[in-house]
Amino acid sequence: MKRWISLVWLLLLFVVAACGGNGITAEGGSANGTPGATENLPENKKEGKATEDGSSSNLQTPGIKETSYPLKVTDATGFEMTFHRAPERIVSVSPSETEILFALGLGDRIYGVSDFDNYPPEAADKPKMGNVIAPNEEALIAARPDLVIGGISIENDVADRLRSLGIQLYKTEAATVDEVLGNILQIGLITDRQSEAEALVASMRADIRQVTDVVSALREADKRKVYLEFSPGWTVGKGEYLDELITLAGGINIAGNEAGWIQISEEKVILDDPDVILYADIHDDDSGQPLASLIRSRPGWSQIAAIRNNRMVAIDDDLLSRPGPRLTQGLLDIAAAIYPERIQR
Amino acid sequence: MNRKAVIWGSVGLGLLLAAIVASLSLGSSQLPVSESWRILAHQVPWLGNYIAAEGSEAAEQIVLQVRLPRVLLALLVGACLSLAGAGFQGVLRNPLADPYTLGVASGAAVGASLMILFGLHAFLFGQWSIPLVAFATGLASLAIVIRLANVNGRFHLETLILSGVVVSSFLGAIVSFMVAMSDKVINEIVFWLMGSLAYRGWPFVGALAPYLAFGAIVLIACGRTLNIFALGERQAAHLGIRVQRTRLLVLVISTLMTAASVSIVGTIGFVGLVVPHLVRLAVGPDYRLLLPLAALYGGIYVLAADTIARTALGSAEIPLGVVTACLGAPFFVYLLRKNKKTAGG
Repeated sequence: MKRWISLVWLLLLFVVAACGGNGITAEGGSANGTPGATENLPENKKEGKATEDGSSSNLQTPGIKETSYPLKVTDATGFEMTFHRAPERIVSVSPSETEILFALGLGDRIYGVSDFDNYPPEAADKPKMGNVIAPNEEALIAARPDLVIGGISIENDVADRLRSLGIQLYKTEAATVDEVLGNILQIGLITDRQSEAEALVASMRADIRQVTDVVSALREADKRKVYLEFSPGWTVGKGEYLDELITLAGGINIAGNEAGWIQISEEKVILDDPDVILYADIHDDDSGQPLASLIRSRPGWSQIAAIRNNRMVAIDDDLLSRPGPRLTQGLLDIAAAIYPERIQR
Repeated sequence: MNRKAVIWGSVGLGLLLAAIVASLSLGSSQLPVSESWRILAHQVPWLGNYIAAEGSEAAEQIVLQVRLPRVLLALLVGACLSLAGAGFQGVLRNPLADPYTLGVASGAAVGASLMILFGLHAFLFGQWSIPLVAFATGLASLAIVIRLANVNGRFHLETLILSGVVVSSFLGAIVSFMVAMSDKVINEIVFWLMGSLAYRGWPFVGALAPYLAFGAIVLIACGRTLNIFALGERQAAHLGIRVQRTRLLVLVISTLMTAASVSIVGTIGFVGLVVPHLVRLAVGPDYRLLLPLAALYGGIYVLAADTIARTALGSAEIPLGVVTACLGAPFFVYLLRKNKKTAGG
């Protein structure tokens, strides 16, 4: 039983790490037709355009977009739903989505969050709705939400059950940086906070540009090999935003050839000999040790360049694990950790 | 004997009523108790006409769609596991036998998790497919355990349990392997292995009820035969009982009830072990009495455990298997010690 419990904790961690975003690409982003595109997005655009061309008596400031309801959207489970007005009682059972809602200025419309939500600090004061995999049904209904946002860990059967209870569930699932940005825009659209969402995405894109401008000067030979451990024994390969962040920061992810979340092979890491080791600032559940000392004490790892040259850098776990508004802060931290001489924080 | 039956029967019904009242009144949403009961009373035909349904829609959803089906499911699961335990103990004449110690539950778990892993939730037989596969694998593992424990046609108490443990560990390893192989369904399999009544609702109540009804009728009809079994198989044969046939029937039915309950709510330990013993301590070894009372008290046990599981930590749920184990494990130790004392003279 104990093993199961620690396994479940690992999974929860993993799931919190993975929760967030949906398969929606940004309006202007490099769309690749992911499921969950907004159906009346063109309509909205058209309307925005109509406002610009149209009567001067319209009081709308140019650039401020309003969502027109009813709004039809499809979420990551392929479920189509209609919003007749901007949601006023929102529950988010995904830490990254909670961060997005707060970043869009919707804090006072949040009526419940998951047990893991701790950012911004106000989120911790919101009513708790249970875990991110199967939130407490009763608490959800009692919050009388008109929108529940769930992250990647909401499985289809849980989604079905919640919908059968009359809950308007919008499930997100963002794996790549573009999908994370698209997800922010989509939540902005649903909640009628499009301008805020666009401003947020613009500032995140500016962060990305700040990093890519610097590292684009790097010659291929100068690029450093990076190993990232976000949870004891776990790293990440291609197709996930963390791998993308390493690449954007000009690093070479030593696990970049594999896909998805990967349990590491200690031998392979020694063989790949990374120049930099990035790790989450967490403690191992089993031993209670900080992840850093766990990594250092692995047999044979003392010869790895990163450890020999003391190039191990801790990254805020929440920045690594949440594909939300602070994603690009994580990028800046990662870039500064890999190339401290070029990027300072 | 009859007086005992009346006393313990009425105590059981009283406890059952108290447990149902408590469970329907309690929950993370802090619904006023009076409101819960008004909603329930409104549903009763005839009586409902006299009671206004003034509860909010949310409160009605919570009481009628979340709490009520969950209470009934707890009763059904408890009755199934407890009857199965009593059946195994009776026919194997082994006080430590139960769906878990015999490896039946783990066997059923392997079958069900295979189906989940490969996404075959409704393969061939619709909602019956997972219970049927779980039944087949549960039966197979029971056959292996019995075969292993059979020394010259006799089962020794310890050998049977030992074989059960060996087979269970092996099957547990298979499930662990499946968890390691899958990535997205991990959560589903793990949560389900810890046992939970959350996210079930009415369809699952309807799915489990026929198994319990059928199993209970067959087992209680075998009550007299099980009494004779208690004398020993040879004596039973002398008294005209078809030993092999009855044994097979009881084993198969007990396995069926275990598999049905495991495939719906996951593995929940110790119910089948603890409850029949408690009932036996109270009313004596007469199976005609013991079986119905075991079903009754099994339901109460699981309902009480589930109420603790879903209310003790607010919106976070304790896995049900953890609660039943915490209550049941000390009792198992007590049984073991008591057995040792009598065996040791």
